[in-house]
Amino acid sequence: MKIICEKGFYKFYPSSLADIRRFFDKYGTRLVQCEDFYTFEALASLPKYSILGQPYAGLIATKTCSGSREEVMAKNLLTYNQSTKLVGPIALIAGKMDYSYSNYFVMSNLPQAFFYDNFGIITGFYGWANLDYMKFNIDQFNYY
Amino acid sequence: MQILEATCTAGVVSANGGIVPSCQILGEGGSSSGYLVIGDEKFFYLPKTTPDVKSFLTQIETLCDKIGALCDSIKAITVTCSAPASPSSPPINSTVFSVAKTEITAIKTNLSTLKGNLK
Repeated sequence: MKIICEKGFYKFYPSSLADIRRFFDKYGTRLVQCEDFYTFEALASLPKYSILGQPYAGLIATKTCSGSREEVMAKNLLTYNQSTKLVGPIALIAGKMDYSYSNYFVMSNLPQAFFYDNFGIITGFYGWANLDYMKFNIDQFNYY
Repeated sequence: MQILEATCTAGVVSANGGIVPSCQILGEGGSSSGYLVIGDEKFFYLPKTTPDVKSFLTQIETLCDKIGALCDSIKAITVTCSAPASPSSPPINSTVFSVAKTEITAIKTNLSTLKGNLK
C-alpha cells in the first residue's frame, strides 16, 4: 500500500480494501476514504479553509487561509499526531526517526511527521507499507 | 479558494458562526450580507448588491404609482368662485395633494437612507 505524507497529512493508496482491513488489524486505526485516497478519520474531516480564531480540527485556527487540507493544516502549524490519533500542534511532536537502511529506509512503525533524524526535521515522506511483514519502507524523506 | 456566506455589521465581518478578524471589506461599507472569499492566504468580504437594487427599484415603483395618482387628482381638480371673475378658492380635492406630498417626502427619505446604506 503506497503511503504519501505531506506536511503531516497522511494519504494511503491501497491496492485493495483488504489493505485497509489489515492496516486496521495491525494499528487499530481506521482509514477512511477521502477524495482518491484513504486517510485517518481526523484528517478526512478537515475543511479546506480555516478562519483565525475559529474552531479548526478541534483546536483554534491561527490563520485565515484556504487550500488543500495539508496546506491549511500546515499553515496552522498542525500535524497528525499518531499518539493521540488527532490533529495537534507540530510544536508538541518530538522524537527521533528509528529506521534501518538498505535500499530504502525500513521502519517497524508508520513514521511520525515532524520527528527528526540526523539530517533534520522530517515534514513528510514517500513510501509503502509491506502489510505481509508490517514494515514501512520509505523511499524518501522530506525536510524543512 | 473558498467562498462562505458572511455578514458585515459596523465594519465587522462574521462567517461560519464567528467573526473574521482583519477582513478587508470591498464596497462602501454599511451593514450587509455577502460572501467571505478566502484565497490561499488572502481574504476579503464581498457584499451582495442585489438587495440594494431591489429595494431601490421598489421605491421607484412606488414613486411612479404616486405620480400616476397625482395626475388623476390634477385631472379631477374642481374649484369654486364666490362670484364671476373673482379669484377661485383652493381645489376642492386639495387634501389629496397634501397627502401626496407627505407620501413623496417619505419615499425621498427612504431613498436617502438607502443611499447612506449603499454596500
